[in-house]
Amino acid sequence: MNKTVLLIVCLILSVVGIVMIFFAKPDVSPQVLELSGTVVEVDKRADVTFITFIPDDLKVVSFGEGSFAKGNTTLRGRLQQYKGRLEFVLDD
Amino acid sequence: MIEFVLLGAFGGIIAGLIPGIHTNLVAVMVACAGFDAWFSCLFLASLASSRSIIDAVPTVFLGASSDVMSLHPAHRFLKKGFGLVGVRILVSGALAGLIVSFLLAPFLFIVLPFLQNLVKPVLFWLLLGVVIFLVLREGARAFVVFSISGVLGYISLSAVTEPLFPLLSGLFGASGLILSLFDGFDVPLQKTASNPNIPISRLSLFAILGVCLSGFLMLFPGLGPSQAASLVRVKSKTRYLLLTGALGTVDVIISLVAFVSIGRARNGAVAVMEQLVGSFDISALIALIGACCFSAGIAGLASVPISKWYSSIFDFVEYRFVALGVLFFLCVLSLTLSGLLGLLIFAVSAIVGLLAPLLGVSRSHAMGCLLVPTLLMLW
Repeated sequence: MNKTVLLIVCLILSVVGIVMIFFAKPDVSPQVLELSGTVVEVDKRADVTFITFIPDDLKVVSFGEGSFAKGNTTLRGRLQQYKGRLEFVLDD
Repeated sequence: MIEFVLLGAFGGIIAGLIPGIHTNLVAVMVACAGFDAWFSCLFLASLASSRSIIDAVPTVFLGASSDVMSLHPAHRFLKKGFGLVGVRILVSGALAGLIVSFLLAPFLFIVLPFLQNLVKPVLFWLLLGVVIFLVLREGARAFVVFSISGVLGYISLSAVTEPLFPLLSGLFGASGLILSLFDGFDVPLQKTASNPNIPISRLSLFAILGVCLSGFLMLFPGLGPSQAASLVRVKSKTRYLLLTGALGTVDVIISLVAFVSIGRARNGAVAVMEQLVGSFDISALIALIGACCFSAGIAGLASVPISKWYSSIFDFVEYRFVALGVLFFLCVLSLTLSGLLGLLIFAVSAIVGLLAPLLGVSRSHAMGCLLVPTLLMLW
């Protein structure tokens, strides 16, 4: 591949790449999220804890053994779908 | 968004020029950095692509030896003063591989799940068959290299936190550098004429062969581009370089396709992407392949001046000083990443890595360090 051909191929690849990046609309959400807000209610059952968390209107669920106090905090976890509803499952 | 892709392209160029800085290593750092998950993925895809192209430069200019038996085909070009031609052939192969894998990506996306289902029940036996085929082709000496590397890999993988860096850079990087230091190799004056005449038909043929081999090996854990090149006998050194160049970029594209298509993270960069975002949709895959194309274009353009600059280093600095510097750098990195035990693994791996060239067999048999643990895990 001589220098001119190399130049042309590289330029075409770059343009094609930019067009692809520009027009693709990926639906990607981070695997791990951090949410800051206030824990207003903690409902602990056998193996699972349900947390009411504002201002995000999300069902927050914990399968770990940690205890949660009411008040301002930052929660770390991932979004998961359960029975068609989006839940925020806390990392252990 | 495009700035992360551009940053990845330049990051890949720098990582490609420094021996030992593998994409997986940068991926681990990116995972720890806590940047935006999607932008990190674009950065990594772009980095992997440009690194696989610029990797041609140190492949040609580092690790050469006077011993004809242990010479990589790229080093034969270097010894004759045609190192720049060697780089150009590797880059041509890499760009052709990227274009062909880009065009065949939709086909692979459909075919890979079928192949995966077909192979899954007999994966262990097929992998064992491929390994036996590769080892038996070069006889008992290849078996010695394969089994010693296998034992080393089995012990090392559970011994330290980041075992792959000291293990692989010792086996494949340091051993070549040590050999070149011992036999007093020096880079001859390189000729500036660097326009290899490769017909488009031959470029396309080897790119398609690269896609087929890489697509096939994608189904087997532990097998990578170096084994893919060993599966076919290519005697001409130009053809061998075209194929190995293509395999590098094809592996990047097919790894992304395989991750979305069959959910298998084939390499460290894709595993980090999985850790960051969980899964991709088709649009994300298109954007990531776009990032790879853009970055490959930048790296391809940069490869011409960079290879001339890299070659000129040896006009001013003796090869052994460069080799010693690289060895020292690899030692420091092994110590930093994996501690004292990592440094020991690096030293032992470097000695084991010398076995292949000394016994006159392909270095790819040292991949037993990953294949033996994989076979044991599948058993």
